[in-house]
Amino acid sequence: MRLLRRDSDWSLFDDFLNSFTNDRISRDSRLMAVDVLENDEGYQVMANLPGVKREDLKITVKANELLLETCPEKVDNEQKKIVHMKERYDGCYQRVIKLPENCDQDSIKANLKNGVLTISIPKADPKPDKTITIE
Amino acid sequence: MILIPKKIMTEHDPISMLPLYDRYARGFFREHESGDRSRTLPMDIIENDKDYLILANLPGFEKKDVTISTRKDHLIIEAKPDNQPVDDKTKVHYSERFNGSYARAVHLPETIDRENIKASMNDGVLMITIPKNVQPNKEIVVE
Repeated sequence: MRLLRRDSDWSLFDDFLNSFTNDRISRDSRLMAVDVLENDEGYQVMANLPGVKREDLKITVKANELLLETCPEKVDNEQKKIVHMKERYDGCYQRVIKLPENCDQDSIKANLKNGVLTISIPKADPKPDKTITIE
Repeated sequence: MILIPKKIMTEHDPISMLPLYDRYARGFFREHESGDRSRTLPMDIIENDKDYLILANLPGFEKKDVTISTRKDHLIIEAKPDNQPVDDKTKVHYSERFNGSYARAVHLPETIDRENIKASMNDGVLMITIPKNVQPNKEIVVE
């Protein structure tokens, strides 16, 4: 799967790519495909999380980073079964998304519907320039 | 969308790697691969005493976007998303999520009850239950 970069000015997401380093937790983008959209009001992050329950998903904002983690609980039914095909990944995975500076981090909202997580991040008013007086 | 088999997988077939499947010798659930794996919807096929279960990841799809049909000895899953186009004011920074249509055909075993195939959608996962219909061996008496 290709990661499309449509906006070269957007340097703040660069670390996004670098975060797929060796780690025991999978960060393979095929497992949690993400879209990032921006409009005048804010940013919208959408992540594919099929079969993931609300209670198995953890979203954390820490130092300008949005961390999405999931570790679904394994349902172990004792029924005798034969697995003919196993393509769906059901282990733990995480992704880190570097947030731009103009985010209102206190007003981030998340919603999980039909296996898609939508995170709305409103833009914050730009901080006014500050003049520092020499003492 | 490719429904016509381009090739039947002989190598790297997930089924053939499973020792449990050996006895079926590439019999059922043999799949016609389109060759483009990244665009193929990931699927699990599990068999228990009563049924075959097919689980397929379809994040973002609603019930109405999915069509399931049987054609001869195949089960065909088709999904067409109901996407809202991105307006001019929206900038797309990343677009990893596939937003096109999916189609996948699965070869069905003979011993199934075709009339009672059931499907449900939950948290972006499609679950199809195919009940088994095991006919007892029939003995033919020489007249």
